[in-house]
Order: sequence, then structure tokens, then C-alpha cells
Amino acid sequence: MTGMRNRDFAYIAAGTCVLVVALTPGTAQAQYLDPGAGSIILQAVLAIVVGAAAGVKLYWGKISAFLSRRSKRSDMR
Amino acid sequence: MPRDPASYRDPAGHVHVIGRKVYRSILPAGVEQYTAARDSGFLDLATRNGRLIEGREVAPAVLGDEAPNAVHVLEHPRIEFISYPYCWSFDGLQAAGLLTLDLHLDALEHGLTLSDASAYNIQFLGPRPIFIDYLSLMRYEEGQVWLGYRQFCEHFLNPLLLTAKTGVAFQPWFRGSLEGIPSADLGAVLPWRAKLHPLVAMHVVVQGRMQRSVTAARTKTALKIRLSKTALMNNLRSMRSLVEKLKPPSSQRSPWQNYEQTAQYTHDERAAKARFVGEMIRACGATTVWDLGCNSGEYSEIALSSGARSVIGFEPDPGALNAAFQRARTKGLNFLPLSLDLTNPSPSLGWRQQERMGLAERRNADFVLCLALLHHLVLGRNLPLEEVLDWLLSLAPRGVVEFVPKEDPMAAQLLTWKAKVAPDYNRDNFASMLRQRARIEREEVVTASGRVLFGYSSA
Repeated sequence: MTGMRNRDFAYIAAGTCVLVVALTPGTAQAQYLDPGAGSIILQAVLAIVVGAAAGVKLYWGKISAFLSRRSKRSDMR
Repeated sequence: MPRDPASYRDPAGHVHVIGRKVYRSILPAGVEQYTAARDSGFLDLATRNGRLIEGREVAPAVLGDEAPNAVHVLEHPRIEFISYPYCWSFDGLQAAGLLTLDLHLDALEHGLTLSDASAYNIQFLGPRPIFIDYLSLMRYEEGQVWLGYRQFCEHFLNPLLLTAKTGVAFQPWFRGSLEGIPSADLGAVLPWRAKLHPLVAMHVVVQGRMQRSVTAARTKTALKIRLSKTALMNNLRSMRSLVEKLKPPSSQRSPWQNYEQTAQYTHDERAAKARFVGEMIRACGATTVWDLGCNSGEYSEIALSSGARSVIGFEPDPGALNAAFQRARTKGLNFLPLSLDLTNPSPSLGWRQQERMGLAERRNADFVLCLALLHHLVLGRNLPLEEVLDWLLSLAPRGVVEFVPKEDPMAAQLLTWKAKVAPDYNRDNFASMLRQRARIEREEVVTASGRVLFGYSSA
């Protein structure tokens, strides 16, 4: 179970923390298509948004279960 | 035609059409990427599952002086009718976009990536899209970004969003702007409600703004961006789910879509028309049929079940066009319905006006169907009857044309405000004009309102 959680975490971490600044220029230079500087930067932002959304979706069940448990407890009080 | 005039962009290789054969030369600049794709096993897999067109290596000498530097030469099956994204239906463009993304995701699993995301890399076999550009595939290097992201937005996402969110057809805009719809332009016309979707806001609004100015600092930042493979695949999957969910708007559910049900035919009249068309196709041994004004494709289907090998349909109404595309897809018909106003067909476009062929250059039919269309052209659009017949005969030597008299309720509707149009438009005149150009093989009145079918041959 812990292993599973670690793997999930690694997956989300890989999906979200992708803005790795490298020293060498990108391979985009070698292309004959101009991908657009703005569009490339946006992809990194999108990767974070999409990764975060995937993370939320993955843990949504746990979060909602946690919240419903809390609300049940407060109802009992 | 030797080297395909549309094949000039890529220094890695070109497409050559020699007679009826289609070859692809792989030049020294493309050898590394081609062999990487071939040796990964991906080319075999993608051709087997029908996503990539077949390509068989042949001796480079086959191209001779055409491509003296070619290191490899592939022979591809010939695609019968070349179509362009600005003629595809909404569902067609969507299917082509999804194929591009699926192919890219598969390629990444094999250590490959796509260097672009051009809609012109896709052709249609019936309603089935197929990827044709082998040299878009290249070796994936860890950290690489999605190089075709901007192009995917302009060629696929933005045109689909335009139609889905505003109800405006994307085809005329795409035809005028061959590289698709820029995000900034789409942002200017998209309703604010559509922009509330976070991904639409990112792809259209933010990307549009970022493209407006190019600064050295931004280019420097972009060159440093690295994406993990997982992140790249997540981005592709997120785009896939966004594109897949788009639907044509309800405003495109037009009266023509239900024409079959609402048309002025009784059950027997429709059966008579279907029989006539089927028997003519069979008698002529027609193989490639153009269905002009194909509507939802009812008669295209009859042509196929009567022995035709393939049908290309032309229909200007987006709702009817989507219905036709769905018919072809669900029934597995070799039928490709395309968006086209026949009075303003798609011209030769692009670099030197040779990049994208006009409709006349792409004629490949041996039989045309011109059903319930003549009155729209002559009475609705004021085209001279003689010219319409000349044009019809120039498309294919044989066909079926339906004459709709002025007394027919549908024709009368067109004449409400222009009673004086086409004084020579009557059955006898039509028949004699047709006889001057072709042999009338068969003639039959098919409705009580006086619609007449003519089967003709000029061969």
C-alpha cells in the first residue's frame, strides 16, 4: 500500500515538477517548423496545471472520503 | 508530375508522383530519423493498425535523376482522392486531430516523437483518417517539448473550437488561412463563456497573448524548457480529451440534415429513385462516383451497394455533412463526404498556387450523381443551364442528373422572389441540351411533381 502511494507520488511529481532548467539549448533549434517561444513556455505551465489536475483527480476519492468523515463526525456532535 | 509541389518544406525527403506510383525519397538529412523509426518497429505496428500509410522500401534507383541523393526510397499506395482540412467535416477534422495525438502517444512509447502536427499530414480513406508523413517521425530525446503544439492548436483545436463554441463554420476561414486559425484571432471572437474553461483559456487566450510579442528573453527561456516524457504525454492526453469532447453546435442541425425524412418524396417515389440510381451504376460498371450535393449520403450508399468502389460526396451544409460522415463511419462505407459549395469549388492554393490542388485538378470520378441539385444551381444561383451541363460533363463521362421542374414545390420556393429567372428551364429544353452533349441512356419520371431522372453517357 505504501509502495503504491510512493509510485503515485512519483508519477505526479514527474508530471508536475517539470520546469527543469538545463544549460544546453533545446533540440527545437534543429527543426524546420517554428514551434513559437511562447507556445513552448506555455507547455511547461500546462504540464503543471494538467499534472496538478491529475493529482487532484487521483486523490479526490481520498479527499472526499476524508471530508465526509469529518462532516459525519461533526453531525454526531 | 514528378516531385509533389506540396512537398518542399522538409529537407529530409520529398514525395514524388510518377505515373500512378507514389514514392518518398529519404535524403541524407532524413536517414537518421527514418532508420530510427523503422528499427524501433513503430512503422510496422502503425501500418498494421491502420494509423500510418504503408511504405515499402524499393531500390533508390527507381527515382533516377528525380532524387539522385536519395538514400532510401519508399513506395506508398496511391491515395485516390487527396482532400484538405478546409474541406473536411467537423467530425472529420476531429478524427484527424485525434489520430495525430494517438500516433504521437504511440510513437513516444517507441522512443519516437512527431516533429510537427500538420493537418496536411493526414489523408482520408473513406471516413478513416490515415497519417501519411513518415518524415514527421523522429527520435525522441529526453526532455524534448511538444514541437507541434502550436501547430496542433492552429490546425485542429482552434478550428474545432470556433465551430463548437460560436457555431461559425471553420472551413472558409481555414481555406483562406492555410496554416489554420491563430490563437490570438480565435481569442478575439470566442465568447467569454467558452474562455472560462481553464484549458481553453490557456490554449487560446494565454497562447494568443504570448505569441503577440517575441522577445529575446522569452526565446532564451523557451530554449531552456525541458519536459519529462510523462509530462509530455500528460499534455498530449489532456489535449486529446479536450478535442474528443468538442461537438458541432446545435445551430448546425439544419433542415438539410433531415432532408431524407422531410423531402417531397413518397415511399414509392424514393424507392423508384433509388432503383434508377442503382441500376445505372450497375449498368455502367461505375467504380469512382462523385455525389454532388450528397446531403446525408443516402444515394452515395446506394451507389456503393450497387458496385461502386468509392464515393466522394460534396455538401455545403455542415449539418448534412456531419450526418453523411457519421453514416460512412458507422456503416464502414468507402465514402468521404466533403464540405464544398459547388459554385465556388476549392481552388489551387498555397506556394506558387501549386501546394494544394484545386478541385478540377483532383477529378477522378467515372460517374457523377447530380440529384436534387440542378434547381439550386440554375434557379437558386442563376447559373445558365448550358454551362451547368458543360460542367457536369467535364467532371465524368457518365452520370445521373435529376431535373426538378419549376412547378415542383421545392423549386417554386426558390422562385418566390425571382419569377423571371431561367426562362429556358423546362424538361424538353433540358433533354435536348443534354442530348447535344451526351447519349441519354434512360429517362424516368420519378415523382408526382414531375421530377425526372436522366441517365446519360458521353463515353
